[in-house]
Formats: sequence, C-alpha cells, structure tokens
Amino acid sequence: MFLHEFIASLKLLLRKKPLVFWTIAFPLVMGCLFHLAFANIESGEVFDKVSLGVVNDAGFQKEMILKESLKSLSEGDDAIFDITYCTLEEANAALDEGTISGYVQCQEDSVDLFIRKNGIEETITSSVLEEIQADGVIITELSTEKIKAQILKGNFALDFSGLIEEITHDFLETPTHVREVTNPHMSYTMIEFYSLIAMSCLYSSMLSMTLINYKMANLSAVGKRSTVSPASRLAGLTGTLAASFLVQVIGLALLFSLLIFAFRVNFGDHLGHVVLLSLTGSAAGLALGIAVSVLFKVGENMKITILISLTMAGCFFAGMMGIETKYVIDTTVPALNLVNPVAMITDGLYALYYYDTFERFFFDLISIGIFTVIMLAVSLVGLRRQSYDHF
Amino acid sequence: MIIFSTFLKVIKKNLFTIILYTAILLIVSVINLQSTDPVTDFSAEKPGICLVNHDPDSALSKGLEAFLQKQTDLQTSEEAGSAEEDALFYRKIAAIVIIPEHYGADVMAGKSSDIILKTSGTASSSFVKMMLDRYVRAQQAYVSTGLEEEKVVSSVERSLESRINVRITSQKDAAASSQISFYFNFASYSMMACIVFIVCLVMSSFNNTNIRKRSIVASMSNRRYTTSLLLACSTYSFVVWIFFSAVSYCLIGAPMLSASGALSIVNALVFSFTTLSLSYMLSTLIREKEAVTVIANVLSLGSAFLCGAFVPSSMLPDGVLIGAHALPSYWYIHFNERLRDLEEVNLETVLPLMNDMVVLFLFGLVFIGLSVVISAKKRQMQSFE
Repeated sequence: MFLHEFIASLKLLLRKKPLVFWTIAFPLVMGCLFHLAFANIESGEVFDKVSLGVVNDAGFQKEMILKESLKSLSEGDDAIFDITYCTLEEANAALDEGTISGYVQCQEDSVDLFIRKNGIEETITSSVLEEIQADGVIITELSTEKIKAQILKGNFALDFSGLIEEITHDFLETPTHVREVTNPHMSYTMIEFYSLIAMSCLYSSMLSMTLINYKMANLSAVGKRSTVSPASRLAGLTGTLAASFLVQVIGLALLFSLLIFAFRVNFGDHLGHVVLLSLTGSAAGLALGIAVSVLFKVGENMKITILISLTMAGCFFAGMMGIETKYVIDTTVPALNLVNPVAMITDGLYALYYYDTFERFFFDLISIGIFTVIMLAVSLVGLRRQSYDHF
Repeated sequence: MIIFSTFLKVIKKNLFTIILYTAILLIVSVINLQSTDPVTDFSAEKPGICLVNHDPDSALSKGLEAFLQKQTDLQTSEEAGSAEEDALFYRKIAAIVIIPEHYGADVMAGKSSDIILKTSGTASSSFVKMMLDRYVRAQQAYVSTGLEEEKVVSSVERSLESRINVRITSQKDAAASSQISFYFNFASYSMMACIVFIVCLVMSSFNNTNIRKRSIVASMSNRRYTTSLLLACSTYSFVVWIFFSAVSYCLIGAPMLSASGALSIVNALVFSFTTLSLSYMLSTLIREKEAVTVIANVLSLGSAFLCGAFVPSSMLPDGVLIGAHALPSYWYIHFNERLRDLEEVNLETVLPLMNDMVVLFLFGLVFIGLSVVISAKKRQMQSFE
C-alpha cells in the first residue's frame, strides 16, 4: 500500500505543472536573478581610490608638506587618491561633471576643499587633509623638542634638515599599535541566498497540501474513494508524505547544485549541518502544507494563495526583499522570528556561515523542529474533528 | 457595466494579493525613507562603531574614547557579543574597537599593547582604521617625548584639531531627490505585479472559451464589449497609478510637490500605460489562470532585479544592464535616476531625459500592436477551425 501510494503521489505531483514550477523552477529562477543582481554589490562598498582635483597654482606650490604628502598618498598599490592637477576652471568643470569627488585649493592662510555633496569619499578626503595638516604640527613640535634637548646638552653643531627628516621618517613609518581583524565570512548578500533556500523549503508545503487535498472526502472524488476504501490510512499517508519529501529533496538538490557549483555561494565549512537544517526545514514546510490543507475550508487555489502569501511574507521578514529587514526584525521584534520558519532557516544558515560556534544554529534547528511538531499536532486535531454525514 | 462589475469581483477575490504587494512597498519604503533636512553645509560622515574599553580608567584610553565620540557614531559595550557581531555583519556599524586591559600603563611604559579593530571591509571601516591610526600614531609620538599621560592626551587633542575649510558647491537637496527616486524605482515592482496579475486574470476569465461564446451571442455588440473591457483595464491601471502617487506624497511629503516629484509621477503614469499594454499582450497568449500567477511573479521580480528597482543600477554588472535595455522597467528607472542626479530641474535640463520616457511609451505602443496582431492571428486560426 505504501509503495502504491508513493508511486501514485509521485506521478501526480510531477504532472502538475504549476506545482513543479513553484517548488522547483521558481527558486532556480530567483537564484539566477539574485546572482545577476548582487554580483557587484559588495565590490561597490569596498574603499576605492578617491578621485581628487588639486588646483596647481602658486599657493599650492608653496605648501611643501601638503604637496609631498599628496604625492605619496597617490602612489603605490595602497594609494588613497587618484589626483588630477588642474586649473581652478578645470577643477570646477570636473566637479560638476562628477569625474572628481572634490578639489583642493590652497589660500593665503588655509587649505580649502570643495565638494559637491556629503558622503564617505568626501569625509575621507577631508579627514586625510586634516591629518596632513596635523602631521605638520606634530613634526614641528617633535623637532622643536629634539633641537631644544640637543642645545641644552651643549650640542650646537646640528644638522637641522637631517634631524627633521629623521623625525618625519620615524613618525610616519613607525607602525601603529592597531591590529585589524576581519572575519573572512562578511558577505552579507549571502542572506539573500539563505532566504532563498528557506523559501524553497517552505514551498514544499504546496506539495503536501495538494496531496492531502486528494485525501479529503469533501474536496475531491479521489478523497471520497480513498476515505471509504479499506486500505490502511497510515500507510497511504506516509506514502504520500514520502513522495512529497522526495520531490522536495530533488528541488533542493537542484537549487544547492546551482548555488554551490555555478554561483559559488559560500555555505561555510559545515555542509552536513546545512543539509540537516534544509531537510528539517523541508519537513516544516510539509507540516505547514498539511495544516493549511486541514484547517482552511477553502478551494485548492485559495490554499495555494495562502501558502504563497505566508511564505512570501516570511521571506520578506527574513530579509529576502532587503537584507536590512532581517536585522531590523532581529533587533526590534525578535519574537516574530519564533513564528517565522523562513527566518529560522535563514538565521540557522547565517549562524553556520558567520559564527564559529553552534549554539545559535542548534537553537534555530530546535525551533524549526518545534514548529513542525506544532503544525502536525494542529493538523492531527483538525483531522480527528473531521466527520462526514453518516448513514 | 457588467464588465466593470466582473472586474470588481476579480479584484475583490484577489484583494489579498494586491494588499501584499502594496504592503511590501510600504514597509520597504518606511524602512529606507528616513526624512532628512536639506543639506547645504559639510557634515562629516560618522561611521557607527562599537567600543569595548577594557581599560576605562586610564587617561590614554579616555582620550581615545573622547576622540572617537567626536568623530564617530559611538556606542559602548562591555563585551563584543553576538549583538555587536550581527551589527557588524549587517553594516549597521563599521567596526568594533577593543582597547585591551592595562592599555594606558603599557603604552606609557613603552610596551606593545595592540588595539583590536574588527572591521567589515567596507569604505567606512577603512575610514575608521585611518582615524584610529592617526590618533594612535600621534599618541605614540608624544609618549616618546617623555610627556606625562595627561599631557600626551591634551597634546594629541590639540594637534588633531581641524584646520581645513570644506565647502559644498551644490545647493541641491540631494536627500529628497534620492527618496523620490528610491520610492518610484521600488514602486515599479509593486505596480507591475498589481497590474499584470489582475489584468491577466480578468482577461483570462473573459477569454475562457465558454464565456467568450456567451458574450458573442449576447446582445452587447463586439465593439462595445471590447471597448468596455479596455476601459475597465485602463481605469484599474489608472487607479493603481493614482494610489501609488498618493502614497508617495504620504511617505515623502513636500518634496513630491516639486518639479522632480511631478516628473516622477508623470513617468509612473507612462509606466502604468506600458505595463497595461504588456498585460494586455500577455493575456492574448495566456490561457490558463494558474499561469497568470507564474507570469506576474517572474515578470515583476525579474524586471525589478535586472533593471535596478531593488539594487541601484550603478551596482549592477554591465552585461545585466545591457540586457535590461530590452525591458520597459529599465527606461522607467533610468529616467528616475537621471532626474535624481540633475543639479537643477528646468526645461533645458529635463528635455534630454525625455527620450527615456519616449522609449517607455513606444514599448507600450509596440505591445498594443503585437496584441492586435496576435488576436487577429488567433481569430484567423479559430475561423479555420
């Protein structure tokens, strides 16, 4: 009986084109769209050289420290500026066209920076120019102190320029005691792909919903026949669910293959945990489908609309339509994540990717398990209450 | 009237889906459209950082904390826990700065004591690193002269005072232009989904063979039937446009009454016309109602992702943008983005932008032309049958 139900359910599911689209093709299409749309997004946030204009007039030629510093800051692999030396008119024109983010002009008693708008590039430029000015002050003070000390020692035959050069070199070249540590797993667009996996898991609800509808006497002729037949209901139900699970696993495998092999999506170093979470998430999806099928006394199309809407709303709150949304929900309404299986799966995958520890992952995994049990329990209660006219 | 009432019935039946698309637009807009005052003076960007100070009593660490307080959007924490790590991952803060225990004493004694800087690798993180290097370098330099701890702090503070003037040449309210552009770009997704979904659904109901046969034998003339159907679809699209334009005023406020706001609304009107024509053309091709949901979702999401409604087009790969030229949403969004970047909005500056709107309109005409051809072909085929 199990095998018969399993094969029949499998045939039925694969023949329903809209169902195959939503559970298998739609996640693949979304994966391709995400890959195309987010390919450049992170490279755009990394610091790149700032295009800076410098008005190369007599005032600038007098500012020796500024001149030398800008030259050194625009050379080498770690250059901060891409400098264009020009006239005032050329600088204004370039600023209006947007080919430079600002330009420097040296006045009698000050250095002026002209920019078009506030922004991180403009702030960095202003900060570096301030630093150059501050460095000048510090080097002057250090040199004065050193010269004073030498004179007090009675050493009057000083090589002033050599001394200043040495102090400047020591000041600028001595490494600072700041150690930068960057987690290699900082790609936040991964959240989009994780929410996609979660969406795919939850779309398995449509598979179980469709098959359960065929088991319900008030919804289909097949349901009437199977209800009055003497066949074991448990074997039939498990065969049906096994077929749904198999189709879901095939869809997930295709999605994972596309993401890992074609788009090089990073799921961290714990693939076994990722698979475990995805399978549990798929089970949660199946349970949700059964619950919706049992609890809502509406037609199949309406049930599909309910499931798609619930899943899409879950995806929205899990960060699929804007990664920031997930953070806002995590920090302001964390309770919402306890009823959103999409958020649980997304967060579990994020925890595996970003953190070295497993506490958060297991919390998410157990949460999905509890969600599945609740959905199944609710469905069971709903099924037990169902009765048809008795003769 | 019968057609209009049928139209209303379909809308009523699918109201939940329309509400869903609208709610997504509203929530995303509320999250992203934070109101800001017009900016005409320079204000340095203040990257958010989290400071974990394990040496809170030393003058050196207090001096560094005061400097960071002034230069960054600083929050302090006892430990760098998961809340802080999450904030770093989601770019809510640019860095986590950890001052080690006995930092002040160790630096004054000439021992190495590293400040740990956890970054996200962004431009803001690089800026925090530059600032921190700048402060610590000055601190190390003054410590090497043998000054007392408090003197070191005051000397560093004095030496790092700003000495340059920053002037903004543009007087434009960039924040308002960005808000208008963001809202209308994102609205392209919601508008397209709402129009394609409902129009295709209604048309597939009317194109159902039995209903079509009934309407042919009905007393209503074929011309009146088609005109009423087109009028109902156009009225629906018009209402969708009015609704999203009204929402833009509620969310953005006064800037919507400017020339930029008005032009964005006109652009949205042309977009709703083109989307309506596209939906009409699709309805001549789609027979099954189930396919409508699929087409509406793939088309609206695909256009939104590939044309820059969700991700700014400046961040999309060149190849994607070239391909996007074939989609109407690209020209709609391209107009909005060019309008946003205008220094001054007047006839002279706006005229070059109008070619985007013209292309968008032409797309609409082409879709209408194609639907006429497809319908004629279909009628021809049916007459042969």
